[in-house]
Amino acid sequence: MSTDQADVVIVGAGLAGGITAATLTAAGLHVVCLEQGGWPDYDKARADFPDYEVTADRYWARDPNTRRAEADYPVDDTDSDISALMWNGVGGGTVLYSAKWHRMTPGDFRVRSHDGVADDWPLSYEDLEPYYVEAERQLGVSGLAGNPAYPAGEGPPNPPVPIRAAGRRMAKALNELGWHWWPGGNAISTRDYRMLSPCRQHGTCMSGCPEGAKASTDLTHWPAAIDRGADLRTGARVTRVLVRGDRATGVEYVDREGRLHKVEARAVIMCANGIGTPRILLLSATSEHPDGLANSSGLLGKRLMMHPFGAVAGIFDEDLATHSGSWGQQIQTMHFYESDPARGFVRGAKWGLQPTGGPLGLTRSYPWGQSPEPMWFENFHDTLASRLGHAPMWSLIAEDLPHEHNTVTLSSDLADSDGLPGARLAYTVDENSKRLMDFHVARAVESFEVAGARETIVGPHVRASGWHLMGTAVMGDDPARSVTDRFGRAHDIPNLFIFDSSTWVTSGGVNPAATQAALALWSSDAFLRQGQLSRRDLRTGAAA
Amino acid sequence: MTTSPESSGLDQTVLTDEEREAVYLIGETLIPEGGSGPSADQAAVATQFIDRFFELRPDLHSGFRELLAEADLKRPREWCERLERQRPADFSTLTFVIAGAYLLSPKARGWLKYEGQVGEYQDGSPQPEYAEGGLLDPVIARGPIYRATTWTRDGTGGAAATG
Repeated sequence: MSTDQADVVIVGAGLAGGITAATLTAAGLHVVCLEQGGWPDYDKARADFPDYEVTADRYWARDPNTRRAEADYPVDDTDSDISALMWNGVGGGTVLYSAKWHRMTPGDFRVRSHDGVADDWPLSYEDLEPYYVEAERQLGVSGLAGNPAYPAGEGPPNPPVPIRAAGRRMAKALNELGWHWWPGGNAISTRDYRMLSPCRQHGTCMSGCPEGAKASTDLTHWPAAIDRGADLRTGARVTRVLVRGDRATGVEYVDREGRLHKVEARAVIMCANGIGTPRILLLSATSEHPDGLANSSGLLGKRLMMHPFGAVAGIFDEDLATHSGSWGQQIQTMHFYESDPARGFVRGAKWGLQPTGGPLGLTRSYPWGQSPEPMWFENFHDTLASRLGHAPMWSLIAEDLPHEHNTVTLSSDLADSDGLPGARLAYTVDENSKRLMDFHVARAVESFEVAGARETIVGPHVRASGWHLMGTAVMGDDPARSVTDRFGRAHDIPNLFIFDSSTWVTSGGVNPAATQAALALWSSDAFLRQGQLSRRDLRTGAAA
Repeated sequence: MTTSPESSGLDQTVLTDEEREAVYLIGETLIPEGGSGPSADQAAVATQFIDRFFELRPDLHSGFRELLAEADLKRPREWCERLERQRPADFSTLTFVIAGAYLLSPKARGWLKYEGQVGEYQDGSPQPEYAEGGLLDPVIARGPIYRATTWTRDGTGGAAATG
């Protein structure tokens, strides 16, 4: 077994891992990052080719159980209402995400105080606000400042993506209803910006951006981090975090040739997502930590949140060119975002208006499978022609409340290509989410009707929608009720950190990339501040 | 079929003549003549584009052939409807292959006037909808809609809530 040393070893090269590596290397730390996958192959981004729709879900498949790449580990979702989606490679989920960009609102951090459910975060919107601004700068976010759904403040660095005909149509309808809307925020550049090119609106954001307009950390963070000395090792699957007493000493990993390696480090930072991080910490159990590392609270792997997702499409007689456009979102609304007791549920959802792509996608399951208009047989031509270019869609992200019975555990019968147990999910969509989604779907249908749609198609509770993996190593002030502190430091092992979305206390009702990017910056900043004050403590393992 | 499989010289390693005949029958069932666009046969699904499809997606080849092997070709409509009802995942595979091959055909794409995921350049220029006097005016006029919180700093770099 080879052994080498670093100041910090990061597990996972996705959104949190990329931002963290870039931040820590800029401060002069020697960083090794271990990533089980490789670099995305943009030669397989086929937006400009006639075979785009046929090939898109092969290389760029979202479900690791479908993709079955060597870097993937199986996720047993038999007992889950939602299947987990992820990209195991450099860039992580940002390679495949739609790049919808939303900060959480101030109230999202105060769910217990405002609504009497779940828990408050141990930090505030105001704490994160400067980190949101910095994340938006680093990722070249496009959008417009002044959204009344948020406190006043600095906006993103790039102007919003074009509103297009569909956005204009729906904006007028929302104005007629007196409802909030705002230009879509997207981690998609609308002009030449640092390493990003302007979006050409192919509508293929989730299957390989062909021109480097979508911000993913393989483009926005890793090249600079590597230039500054970050040692990014791909094809490196971490098998366990090594500990001695209450101190992490490094990690063990296996390379693609099956050789075992060890990296000793003064600190270990987990950035392996809300399933991968608890999986590795559970795999790292020892006689001193029999229930997995950092699990004295018993909460490791619990409180999984995945954001129930609904889709509502409207079909219009007019051609609204909805086959393309940033995907992403043209406009968004948070009109029904805050709780209203009269609705019979707490919390809310954000809607994003997006294109619906090419013709093959319009024959697939969601939301189209719910249409009363048959797709096949004698209906095929009329149904397909009526949808192509004529069908904008609201995507609805519903706040998902944390429950300890929604869990990530180790699979007893599935293993990855190195023989390590896969993950097993137990997750149910709760009654609050169902009522919330029913309400929002009805309002979305209403908006399309006011806009003049001749048909609406509703896909509530889409199963293949578990992009957002949150909550499985919750942060908090009380070590008995949380896994890490507010800065991602494990209560039990003070030089073990979790900077990914495992630490989320609640989910908000918006796409999480903005808050996750801000949290990675917030946590990295605290790591550096505390490290400068107590480098000796880090070396000896004492709490800083 | 527009071309006889026996005389076509089509690649037998992709599909046998019998399988190709099954693709023809199922294709004409799912995407029949008589609509506003070409049928599966008119778009040369069974004779040409099914081969191109499997060049692109060899991973779906064996599963699709298994479906062909069990298809009731005397009653293809009933078989398709039963598959959709009882085994939606298999029906999804079947239709993905047939429609995927169909939409590779220039004839089908021409009927839809679909030129692919054609991009449109942009330069970040201001949009009139977002200028003063544009669509956003009533949204801005209504003012903030977020629920405010009240915070006091607790002196440790974090925040303590009071409301």
